[in-house]
Amino acid sequence: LGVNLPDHEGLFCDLENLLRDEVSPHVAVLRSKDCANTRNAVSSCVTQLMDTQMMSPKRKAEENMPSSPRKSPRKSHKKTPMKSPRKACSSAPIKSLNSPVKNQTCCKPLVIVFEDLESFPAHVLQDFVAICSNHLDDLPIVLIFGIATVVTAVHRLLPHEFSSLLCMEKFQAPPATQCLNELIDQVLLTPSVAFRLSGRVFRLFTQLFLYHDFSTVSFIRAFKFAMLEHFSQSPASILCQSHDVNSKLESFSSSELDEIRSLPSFRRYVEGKPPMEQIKLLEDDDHAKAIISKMLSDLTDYHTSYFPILRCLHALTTKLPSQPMGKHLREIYAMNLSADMGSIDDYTEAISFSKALCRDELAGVIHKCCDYLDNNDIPESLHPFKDELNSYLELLNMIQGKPKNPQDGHGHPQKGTLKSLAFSHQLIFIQTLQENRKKKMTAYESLRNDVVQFLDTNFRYSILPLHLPLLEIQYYNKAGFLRHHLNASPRACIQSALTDPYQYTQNSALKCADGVISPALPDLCIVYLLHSECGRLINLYDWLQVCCSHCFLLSFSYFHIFLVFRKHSRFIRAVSELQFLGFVKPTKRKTDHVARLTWGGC
Amino acid sequence: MEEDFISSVQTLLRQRLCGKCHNQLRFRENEIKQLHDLVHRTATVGESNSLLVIGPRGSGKSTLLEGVLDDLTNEKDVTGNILVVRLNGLLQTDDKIALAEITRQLQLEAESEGKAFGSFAENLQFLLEALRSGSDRKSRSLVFVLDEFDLFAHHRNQTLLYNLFDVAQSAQAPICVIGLTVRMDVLELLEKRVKSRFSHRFIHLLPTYEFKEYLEIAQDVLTLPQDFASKKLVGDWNKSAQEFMQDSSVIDVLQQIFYLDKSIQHLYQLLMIPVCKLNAEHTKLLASDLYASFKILHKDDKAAMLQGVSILELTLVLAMKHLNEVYDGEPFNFEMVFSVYKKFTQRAALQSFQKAVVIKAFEHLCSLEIVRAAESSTSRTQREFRALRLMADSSQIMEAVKRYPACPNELKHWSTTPMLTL
Amino acid sequence: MPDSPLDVIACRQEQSRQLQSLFGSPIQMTAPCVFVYGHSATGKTLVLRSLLQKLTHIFVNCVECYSARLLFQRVLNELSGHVPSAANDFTSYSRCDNTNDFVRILKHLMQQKRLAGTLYLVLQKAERLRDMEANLLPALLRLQHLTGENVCVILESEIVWNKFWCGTGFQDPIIIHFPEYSKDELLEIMLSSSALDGEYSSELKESYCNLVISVFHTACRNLRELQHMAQLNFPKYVEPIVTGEVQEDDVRKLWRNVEPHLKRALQTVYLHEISSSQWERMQAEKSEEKAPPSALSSRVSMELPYYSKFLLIAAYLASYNPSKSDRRFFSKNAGRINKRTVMNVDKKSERTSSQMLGPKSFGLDRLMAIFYSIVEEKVAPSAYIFSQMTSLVNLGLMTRISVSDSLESPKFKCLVSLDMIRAVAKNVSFDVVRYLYDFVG
Repeated sequence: LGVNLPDHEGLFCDLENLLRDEVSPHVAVLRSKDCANTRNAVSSCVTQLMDTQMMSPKRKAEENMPSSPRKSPRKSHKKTPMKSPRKACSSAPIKSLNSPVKNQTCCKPLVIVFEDLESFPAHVLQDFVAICSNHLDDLPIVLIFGIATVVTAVHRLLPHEFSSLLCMEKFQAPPATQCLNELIDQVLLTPSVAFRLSGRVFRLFTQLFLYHDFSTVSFIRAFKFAMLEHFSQSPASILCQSHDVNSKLESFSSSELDEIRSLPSFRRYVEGKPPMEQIKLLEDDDHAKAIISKMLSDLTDYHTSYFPILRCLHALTTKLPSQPMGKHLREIYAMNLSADMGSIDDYTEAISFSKALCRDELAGVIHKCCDYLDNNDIPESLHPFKDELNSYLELLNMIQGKPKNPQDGHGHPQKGTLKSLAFSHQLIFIQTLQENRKKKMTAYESLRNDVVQFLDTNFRYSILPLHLPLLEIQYYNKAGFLRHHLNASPRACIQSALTDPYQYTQNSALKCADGVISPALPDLCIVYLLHSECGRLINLYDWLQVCCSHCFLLSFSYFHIFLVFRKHSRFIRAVSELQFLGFVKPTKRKTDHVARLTWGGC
Repeated sequence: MEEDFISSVQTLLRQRLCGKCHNQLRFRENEIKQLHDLVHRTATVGESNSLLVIGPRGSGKSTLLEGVLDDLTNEKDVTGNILVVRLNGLLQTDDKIALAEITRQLQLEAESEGKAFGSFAENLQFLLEALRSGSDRKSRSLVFVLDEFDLFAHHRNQTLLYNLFDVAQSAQAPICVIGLTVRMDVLELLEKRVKSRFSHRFIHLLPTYEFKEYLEIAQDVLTLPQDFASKKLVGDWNKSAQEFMQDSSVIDVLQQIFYLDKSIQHLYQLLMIPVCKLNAEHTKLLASDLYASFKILHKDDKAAMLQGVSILELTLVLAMKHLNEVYDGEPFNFEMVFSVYKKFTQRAALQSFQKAVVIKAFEHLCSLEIVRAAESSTSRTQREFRALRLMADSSQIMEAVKRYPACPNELKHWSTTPMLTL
Repeated sequence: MPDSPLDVIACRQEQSRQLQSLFGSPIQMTAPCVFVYGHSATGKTLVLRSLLQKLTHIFVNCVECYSARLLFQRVLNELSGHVPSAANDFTSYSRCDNTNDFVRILKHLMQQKRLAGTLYLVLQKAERLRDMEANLLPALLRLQHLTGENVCVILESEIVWNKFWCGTGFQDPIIIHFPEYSKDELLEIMLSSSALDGEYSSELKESYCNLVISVFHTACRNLRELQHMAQLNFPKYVEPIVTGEVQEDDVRKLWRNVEPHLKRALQTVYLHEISSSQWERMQAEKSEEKAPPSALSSRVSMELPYYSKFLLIAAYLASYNPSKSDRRFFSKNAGRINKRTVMNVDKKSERTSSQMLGPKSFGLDRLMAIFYSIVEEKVAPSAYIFSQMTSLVNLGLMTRISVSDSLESPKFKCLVSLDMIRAVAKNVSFDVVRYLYDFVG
């Protein structure tokens, strides 16, 4: 677990295989954990190379440990910031690697890949580079550095005398966000995958990704987890698969149907119906099944048209100044999922902005939309939309020539007059200008308004995922549950366990009111609760006293020396458990005191 | 003929200068006699002895000893009666290796093979036994020569020394231990039990000779023996060598050297370069060659290296020098140097470089060890903040700035003014 | 010596002659040890290689042979002509673990082979020898004496001889210095060895080399770097000739054309960040868009998750601000401290500015406290946040300085430069400078 590290491994694995296939069979991958000193680095490198050389023994190989001979005329340097997605990135380095290879046709270069450059000890790297440069004459060597941060890391690790031995070339893998977009694009934003995430879950996932780890691997893991949960928790989710829905539906028992009936969106649907229909829906299984199956196919149909239109919206909004709905498709998607399109301020803002677009931009947008629609096999329902758009585009192109004439005719004399007119005449000028505007409106602007209006209605109509019945079947919605599982917070767990053991043990004896320390609690909890009321340093004796008074009240009636010892030992044991959990530590500042390690109040 | 002669002269002189021929030391008659007697007694009478020869580097310890041993092996009553084991502290870095080497030198590998020895002493004892039984006469005498004697004292428990001295003192076998060392305080290194077994016999080889005698030594080295070649050629050469030695500039150079370092080795080294220059066209030793050789050997190499750095690097060195003066030799780090550098280039309106480039230049200085980390184990801190010290002296820097070809005036000026007044 | 390589190597005649005379003819004794030093790319190895071509010699690089054992085995293998290969299971000539064995085997080998002349043992990067066993260097210096054979050890280094002094048993070698080339010499060498392509007159090349040297000389005297730069920029220089705009002899026009490129290159000397093809591409782009800072900004921009960026900023602040000042920067109701100005006057003049002294260490608690106060929204202290800390440490942006076994209060240090943190902060639109003690005060 950690920033970008999981993705790196996969990436380099791909890279290595690709190198082996396309460039040279001699590839060695070094990881910093294997290379604590020069000896290890060289031997691990030589062993890896030797393995491949055994198969093609065209060169005298060197002895294992000692003088490791290898060199390259040019080293290339690859920059891999964070994670990079699959094939897209690895092919880039390959291409440029090829050029040096061709230069020396005699033998294939030895490729040495440094997977995580930053964690290599500097002196190992320095020696390694120096050794390599020694053998440059006899052997072509290419070094590939995997750098997760910035290029300057190379300079940080390699001082001048060594870096001057390198001839570097940078390859930058696409940023992680791009991979994410691609992933979302292909998995979530297609009608073909019926399992979907609700707005909150989607937001949670993207946040985890963007804020915490930038790891597509863990994004996918989270996605799988959500899927697993979804299918195992709700029986209705079986209807999620689009094919064969009807036969599955047939086999539903009435109790399963009842589950579907209890889905909130279904209830909403039912409530909107006349009472007769309501009863029928709720009581007659066959009728309900028919309706449900129709609903499901509606849902599928809806999605097929939903995504193209969403893309159109994206095309429109990215063109707008300040991009009220975000730069990325996923942002619009998330927005959409969580609220009604018409009610989002950003959306209305976007529409009003788009009413101010200039002609070329508008044409570009429409063009792009048409492209989207052309490319994808769009459902029937969208054909009118597309046709309409196309006709708008034609209209636009037509005006392109036209409106210029009136504009020019008015504009030129205006400008001429502007220069010659005195200051006092400006008012008149402004008036004419406004008139001029109104005139222009007739030509281009009215058309623009039409277009925007048209788009707006279409968007509002077709982007309404929240209101369809049976949404729950396809959308997974338990964000809180996921957060709990994916975003672990160990401290909070321990603390809630200590302050409120009931939550975990479900033992009603432990249930307690806020702020009251019940003697029934385990010793550890009592000690913890008391400690959290103390300051930075805690006097052990006082602590013990308070503890006794609180929890061992009952036993006081006996007042037996044996019990006193027992209390002491129980207390000491609880304190050392607390220390083990990392809440207190012994301090040297005062005898008989322990120091708190947590901040007050938490 | 002439050519052959010259090249054979060169060969001989080279050999001499490399210490290959052991011509007898002059002015060392007492020491030679003492050593000779000692070894002689061991060889003939079977007396055990130990002795340390102490003298600075190049004072002729090895030459003395080898000379004596050479002489002895030529004496009738000694030949065949003495075995010399030569050990060197640089090579035999621990007692196990030393023992293996002793075995090898005594050619007793066959005997000791396959035997396990409990202790070092047992092993040594066995070797001595083996020697005794090997010869029908009474045991032959052994001479142990321990070069770099002080290094043996660093071995664990000083087992080797202890056992050798013990054998010598208890007269178990005729053995003579001779240690050669440069350390006057070598006795302090010995453990008490080792020290008490040592005979405390020393020969101090101190360069007590006067300059006149020094010159004679030099003359000797250059003089050819009469039977070396035809009389005429030898005579000619010797005459030229004599003239060479009387040249006032030669004497001048030798005098300087003499005050710096009296050692004969140093003298040899100095003479090496002129001798190497001899060839067919160049048949005589020239005073100018000697002077050149002196120059080469006594160049201030740090200043020379400083002259080879670029202007940028020189500016950095100057900045560090100023930092050193202002903060009185406190360590500094790159950031400080860089800020001084930036101030300087701004005020002097010189071209200034970006930090990345300056760092590279600075690293170059580090790799030349003109700058060095003040404390070790700094791998964890950023390079920019590592505490550093300047290893060059300010006079060396000034020298370099003065001699630097086409050094900008601003830089020259800056080198002489305090940092802040620029 | 008509066929001697003396005159083949430009500008190094003096040194070659010295060495040559020291070596003498093969049967003669040679000085036991020669120390050759000079800056990198001053022809040390070149001269030695060409002089030793016909003599028995062994080159050993001390970086490669990082332990004495490897060094010995390497020498013995070469001397005996033994090649480790699959056939002999990659073993070396003979086992050789210590100096004693080495000297013995070397002696044995030399006697066995009856070498006619001196054996030259060249140790490159000799400064590394100091890090090996203490006795190795003195033993090598006295190798002639120790083996009694005609061996000459040549040490090659960039460091002056004084720095080699340590331990005992030293015998001073004969020292030969290779001075840095002068401007004229540089020019001569660059012309003679120039790899500039294309059919151009030598005058053109000469004036170009002159140009390169004069531009770069202040920053860099290293021949190799200069050649690298010259090669990189040559296509630009001749571009107008190729396109036919300028005649070959119009030096001034050519200069004007190439000047900006060279200037730019000067700012990136030594960095070697790009290969020639990329350099060309970049130059082409630049001349179009005239946006020189783009290259620089890309050097420091870094991709990190959102919270990691804040963690990094927090770490930076914790490293460079005194903890006393935290209250002032981060507590919500901090009144501006009036004494500030007074305090700062004397603060400034001291050399204690943390920008100068580097980062200080801070505890995890402090880091988290700062982190929470600079991140606007609420963040749960989840395992993710802590795993990001370790990632940052792995990436070398932060380092953990306390002893590894003290679990409870680990201490860290931030290793990022101001430029980089600025870039990061800009990325999340956080005004980091406002929170830095040294800048605010």
